[in-house]
Amino acid sequence: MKGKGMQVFTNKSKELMGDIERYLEGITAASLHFGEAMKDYIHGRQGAFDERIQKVTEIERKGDDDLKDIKYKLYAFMLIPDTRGDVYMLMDDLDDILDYIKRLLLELSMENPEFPKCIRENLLLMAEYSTKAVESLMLAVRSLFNHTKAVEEHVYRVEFYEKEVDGLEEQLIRFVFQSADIPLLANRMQIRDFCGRIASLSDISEDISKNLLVYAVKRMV
Amino acid sequence: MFSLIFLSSGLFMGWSLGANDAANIFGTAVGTKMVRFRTAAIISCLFITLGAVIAGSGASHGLGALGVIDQLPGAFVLSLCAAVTVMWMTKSGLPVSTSQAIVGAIVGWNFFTGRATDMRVLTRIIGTWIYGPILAGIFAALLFIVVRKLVNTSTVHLLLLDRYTRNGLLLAGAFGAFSLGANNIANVMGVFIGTMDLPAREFFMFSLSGEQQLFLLGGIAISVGVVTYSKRVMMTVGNNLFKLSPVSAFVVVLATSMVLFLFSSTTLSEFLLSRGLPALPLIPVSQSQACVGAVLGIGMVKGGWRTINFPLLGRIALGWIATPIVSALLAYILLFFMQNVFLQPIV
Repeated sequence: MKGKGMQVFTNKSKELMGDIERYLEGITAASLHFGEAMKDYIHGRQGAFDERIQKVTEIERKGDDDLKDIKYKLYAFMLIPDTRGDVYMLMDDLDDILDYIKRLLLELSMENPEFPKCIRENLLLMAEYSTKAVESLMLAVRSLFNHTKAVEEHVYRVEFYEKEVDGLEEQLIRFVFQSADIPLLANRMQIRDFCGRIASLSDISEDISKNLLVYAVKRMV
Repeated sequence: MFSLIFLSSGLFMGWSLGANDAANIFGTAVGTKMVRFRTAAIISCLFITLGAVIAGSGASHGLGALGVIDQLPGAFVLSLCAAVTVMWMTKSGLPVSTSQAIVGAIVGWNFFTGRATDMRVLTRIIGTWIYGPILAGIFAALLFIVVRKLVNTSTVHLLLLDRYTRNGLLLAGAFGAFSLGANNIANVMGVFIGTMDLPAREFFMFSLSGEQQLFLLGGIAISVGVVTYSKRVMMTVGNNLFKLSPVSAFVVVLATSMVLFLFSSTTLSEFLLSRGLPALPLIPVSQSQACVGAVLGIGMVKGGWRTINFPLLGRIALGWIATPIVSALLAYILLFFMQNVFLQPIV
């Protein structure tokens, strides 16, 4: 029969596992909302866009609460110091994604840049690939917890999407500065700036995935 | 009262063993704060004492075959010489084994008293100094391959794996403490067995023979060493020397404990003999050297021959040669003083 003390420890571990899973689900949801919010913005669906911002803001707030809980429980109930430190760093890094998505959407809402029709398709594709980079990162993170060997494959996907986004960004910026459809330099610079900000989401994912690979290698015996 | 004074060298030897060797069992777990020192100390004390009382006689009788010490002053000198040798060699930074020190002291006693040393027994004991670490290395390598396969392909959540690793370290530690008590109590109390004839005593629901009472006393001395001094050594083992991952530490403790258990279990020995298989000699082996063998075994699996630290092996070999010689010489000299200056009976 399992001792009472032992059961308490197992329950605490399961509680922490649940907290982490909820936190990861929040990040995945935020990235999906980001992709949809971009579509809403570009297609001029202002009401739907504002709703997405509200949802992301709520997820980010919950994420912060979850992160606080996770950090406390990690140090209270997890035992291997090395692993504990790695999980702590990873959770902290993932918070950057939530913060970044929320900030980017709010900036879109505040600055209200105008994207001409000729670049909308590529802009949406960039947003889609950035979202996919985040989704692949989430799969890599889950693999670290359950199936370490699979981490590398997911990290490869993150890198792939990041490169795709970089290519699209360069293509878009060249086009914006050569196109006669965007006559004002101020517009061109604002669009360039937003292209960079959208691409940064995949850059953040790639940076986290690189650290993740190190954690995975350390976990392999 | 006199008996207790003469036993003091054995108790000191026990204290020293507890202070140093418990660190080989729980060093990584405590040093990395995976297991609290209090938990490690309680498990160590309990299982070392249990191992000594329940299964300590095999290795002790094996040691007795090298030379029967029949006078308490003689046993006192031998134990003192072994303890001083261990202390001196440790201070000199040489790897040292209490088993080798006590064997050297007994050989010194044989020389002094003019009794013949049974070369067959001596060769068998020296043989274990060589194949004890080799066996630990083989066990560790095999265990490591299995554990690595299990951990790397497992789909168990990282947090649960963390919990299992800690429990594994506690279980391996309990087994390690039991094996250490069973095998190394011979170094602490082995030389006193032939000198004291204690009557059997009833304790609540069980009775202890005279020999077991001596082992209980030795177990308590080891426990005092664990409680009073081993924390410092554990923190050193966990943070500076052999820096092992918790999983590797589990494998090292398990492999080392298996070796110590093989060289001390009368039941296992009888079982092997009854099946017509060769049994390992029941004699005290060095836990520290088995530990080094286990670490090398894992190193071999991880990186082949390149990982072997040959200068370290050289130092261990130097310890192997120096410890028994120094202990034997010291025993010869101190026995002379005990007999001719303090006028105490040696034989």
